[in-house]
Amino acid sequence: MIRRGLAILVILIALANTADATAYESRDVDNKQNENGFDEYFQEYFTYNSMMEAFGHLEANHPEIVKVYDLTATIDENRKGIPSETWDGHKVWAVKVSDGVDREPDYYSDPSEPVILLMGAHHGNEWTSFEVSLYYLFYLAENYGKPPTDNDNDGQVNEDTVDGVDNDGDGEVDEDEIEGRVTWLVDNREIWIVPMQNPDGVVADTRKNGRDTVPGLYGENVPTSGVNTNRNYPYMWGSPYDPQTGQTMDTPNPQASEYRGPKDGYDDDGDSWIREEYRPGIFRWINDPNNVDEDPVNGRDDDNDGNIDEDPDGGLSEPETLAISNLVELLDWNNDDKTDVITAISYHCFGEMILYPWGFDSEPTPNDGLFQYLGNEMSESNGYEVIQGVDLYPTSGDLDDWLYGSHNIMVYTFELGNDDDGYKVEEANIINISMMILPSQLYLTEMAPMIEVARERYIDSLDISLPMINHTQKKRITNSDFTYTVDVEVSNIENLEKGSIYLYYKVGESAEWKKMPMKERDSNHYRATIPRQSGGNHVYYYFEAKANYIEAVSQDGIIYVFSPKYGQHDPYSYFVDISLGDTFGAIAAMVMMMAFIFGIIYTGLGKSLKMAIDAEKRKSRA
Amino acid sequence: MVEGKQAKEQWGSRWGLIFAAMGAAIGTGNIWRFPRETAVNGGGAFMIPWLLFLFSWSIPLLIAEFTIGKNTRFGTIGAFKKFAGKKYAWMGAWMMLVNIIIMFYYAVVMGWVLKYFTVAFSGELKAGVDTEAMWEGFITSPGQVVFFQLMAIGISTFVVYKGIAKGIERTNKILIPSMFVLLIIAALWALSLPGALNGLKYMFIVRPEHLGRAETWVSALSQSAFSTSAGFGMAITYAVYMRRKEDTTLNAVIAGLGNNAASLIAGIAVICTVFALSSTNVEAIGVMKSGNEGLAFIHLTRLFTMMPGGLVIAGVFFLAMAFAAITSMISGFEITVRNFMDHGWSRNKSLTVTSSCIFIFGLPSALIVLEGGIPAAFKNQDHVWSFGLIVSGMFVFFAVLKYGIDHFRETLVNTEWNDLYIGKWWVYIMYLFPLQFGFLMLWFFSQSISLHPDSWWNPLEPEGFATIVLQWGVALAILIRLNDWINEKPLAESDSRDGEIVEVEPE
Repeated sequence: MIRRGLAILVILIALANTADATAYESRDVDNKQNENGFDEYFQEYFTYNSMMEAFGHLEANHPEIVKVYDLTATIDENRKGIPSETWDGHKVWAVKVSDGVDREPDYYSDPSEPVILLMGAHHGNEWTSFEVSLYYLFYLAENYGKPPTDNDNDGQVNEDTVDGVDNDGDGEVDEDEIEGRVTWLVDNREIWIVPMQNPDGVVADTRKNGRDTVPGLYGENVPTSGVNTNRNYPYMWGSPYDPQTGQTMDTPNPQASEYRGPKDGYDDDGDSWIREEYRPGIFRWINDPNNVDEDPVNGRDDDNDGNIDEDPDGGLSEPETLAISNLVELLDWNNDDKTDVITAISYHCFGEMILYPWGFDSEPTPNDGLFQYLGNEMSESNGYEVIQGVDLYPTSGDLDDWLYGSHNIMVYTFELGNDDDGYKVEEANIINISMMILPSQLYLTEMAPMIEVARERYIDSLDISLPMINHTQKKRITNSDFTYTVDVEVSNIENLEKGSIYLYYKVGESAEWKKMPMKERDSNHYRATIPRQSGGNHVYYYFEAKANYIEAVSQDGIIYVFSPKYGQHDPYSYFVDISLGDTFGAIAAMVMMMAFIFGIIYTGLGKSLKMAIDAEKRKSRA
Repeated sequence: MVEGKQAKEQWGSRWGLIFAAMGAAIGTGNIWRFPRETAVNGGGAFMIPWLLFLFSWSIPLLIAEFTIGKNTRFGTIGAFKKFAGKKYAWMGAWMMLVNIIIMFYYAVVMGWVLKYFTVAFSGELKAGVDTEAMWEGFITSPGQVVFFQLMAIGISTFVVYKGIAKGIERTNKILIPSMFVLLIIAALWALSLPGALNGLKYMFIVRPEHLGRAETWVSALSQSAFSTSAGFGMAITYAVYMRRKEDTTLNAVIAGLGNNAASLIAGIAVICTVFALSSTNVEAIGVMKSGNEGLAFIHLTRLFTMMPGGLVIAGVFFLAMAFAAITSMISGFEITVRNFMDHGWSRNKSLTVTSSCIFIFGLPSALIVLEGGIPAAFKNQDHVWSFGLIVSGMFVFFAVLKYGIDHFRETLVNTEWNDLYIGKWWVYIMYLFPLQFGFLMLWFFSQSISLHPDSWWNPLEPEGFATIVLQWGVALAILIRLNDWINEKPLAESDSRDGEIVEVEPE
């Protein structure tokens, strides 16, 4: 009886535990078939120093795609007295992964390549967050430019791409990535990774940064246990603590874990000095304290001076946050004060959640539908719960609200790991959780351009009616006498940038591609004519168009290429045969010649034979 | 009547002669060489000179040969001895030599045709078969090649052994009409294929730029000459067996036209098949440009397998080719045999020696095959000796010239028995012979130099110039030296006055 009861108890406990098992724990830890070559670096936690070493190693091995930046070096110490390194003397390092980094100027932003920003360790004790960021970095750098490889040594190549699904049904998930996909992503995106936004906190294993004192109301030094860098961003900074709910949004208390940092106190828009005529004809400048910090960052023109949010009252007081802010502002290729960063992820622990703005208010953002859609898409590979940030708990002055509120970036916060994992997963599980997160990182990287369009147009999914080029290839083999007409039909033409459809063709496999614009025939039909080619040539062609500022995507039968995308359609081709004469005149000439030749020979033969027959008759009679 | 005469041999009827002459003329050259030459030299543009040379070289030459043969009633050596004089017996010997040397490799080629005929019926031919590998496999297996060579020689020997009426005439009377029927079937099938129109276009539309190329004219002349067997000695030899009242002009015209008629049908069959079954015109043109054996045994065979019913047509095609080859071979045998018989040997003895020589000396052509299945000895012999025919033609011209061309025409050609009156025009055409000859030879020599800029002087270059000079030089030297010896051999007397041939045992 007791034994049976114990047995049942054991079974129940076991069941309970399996119910708690996360998606990644179902992966076979010991018998992993998908060893990435760099997994050896993820057997234990990185430190700030070992991370710097890793950066050096990656940059040296992949100089054409990896560049390491010191973001804190962008800080102008003279402006507000914020140091150009962290309070404990560390740097906020960023790594840019993209093609051509060795040739480009610093902080260059390629107009044709959307920018994705990933950050870890805003909170220094949440170590899982920087491991996951670093894993993505290694993944991109080490897989770039590799030929198709059988990564899991099962005899098949690229049969299980990283998408969170066991594509080949072998019990392992995502173990044989398509190398070409990585190459294409790096070539066509700019990925910025900041693994440790708060290196002081990482080193000291604290949530907040390493600041010791802050200026008080009267300029005195007030001791602090550090600033919560994820409450130090200007958007809605300084929202009041809500005693009724007991919720902390951000707090002015230097000792609290949600301490938002000191007030700004700077006249950012330079309008606090006014010229006063204090005696007739004599003028002096006085400082109007009302004109300092009078236009906080909340999306409104609080001081009615025509500018919005130009004099914040707080936020960006820390080198860590200022570094991020500078980066976001520097990445602006046409200097129109709109950042080029499209999507971003900030990693935190724990909770197995995917959070999106707003954090400060329960009101949904204008792009709420899109946020939910993308969040759900990313959740498929990890099972995380997708909710608005405020529904976890209200925050203000955090990264997400500011990236979205001030810069319109589609940003997510991931709370990695469950209760058991806590702020730092077990070292044996680092790779597992990184692999589990990988599909979501790739998703946001790849979809960035479409996300941008969907965001602009407030579309709630990525079904954004891109212009599609439809083409039916003529089956006839052309001959050297005729030009080859290429007709396409464009659907969703309203999204097509006018005059942007080009036909690329080349004559012969090793020739250079030639480019010609396609001409509009009517509302959605375009045409180009490939000139006459001599017989025996293979001609290849494809199309390219811009949907305002992104490329038309390949669907069935449509071509798309800047550089061949993985799994891409091959170009169309046709063979130019030699014409033997298709005109009526040619046929007539042939018939005449046949008649002539046959005529001479056969009538000649017939006549001769008849003559012979007659002669024989004659002779035999004779 | 003289004691110990042999049975007189004679064509049973005019048609026997005509079919025999056509059979001799129509050979593999009509079936694989004509389509290729037409295709390569501008289609319709080729046919114009080709027709022209039929009337300016082939038919006049055939008329001359028939006349000489009928008049002297001797094979080539005897004909020259009697007609041109004893000093020129070696010319007749050259004709026989060229003929037998060609027979050496022709037997091998006929063996190939016989092999492929069996292949067509064995079921070995299926869609997807690698015909190139099959050809290479065949040609590099000496056992098979020699077996079929022997078969070819065996068949020809048997027919020639049977003599003129029972052997050669009967065989030709059956095979030639059959061959025509088979070729027509093949041509009609080819025309029924979708895409055949392209073949017709390629074959018949005049591509005028080719008319300006010397090569077109040369190819047309050589094709006409080889194809009709004018200058071969065949006409001389077959004329020996003509009845007294036999015509030598109209028959020549019929033989020549018949040869070209066969070429046309074969051409349509081959070219239309190739164009219909190739996926692009460019591919078809490439196939047409391939060598003669390649075209027939590799490409056409492959193309046949691509159509249902194509396998049947393959059998039809190769059978027609086999018939054409047999009838040409037996004429070659007879030319040589006749010369031996003229000098006293019996048919059996002559045949035995001839067959044996053809087999033994044909072995190099059968066996010497280079990497990739290239029959080098065959190519060399074909290259050197097929043009020997042209030289033979010149010798005939010389003989006629010595007699006096117009005199020849008036007294020997325009006899009461000839159904076609030959006017003065024939004389002028004959005067064109040296021109055509010179043109052809010049081009032939210069090609063998220019195509092999590094090796033409090397006698080992199979298709170079040195090998021609060497072999011809040696042959001519030997024959001229042997002229006296040849003349010592007495000719078996013939009495041509009553039109019956009587053969005399040597004393």
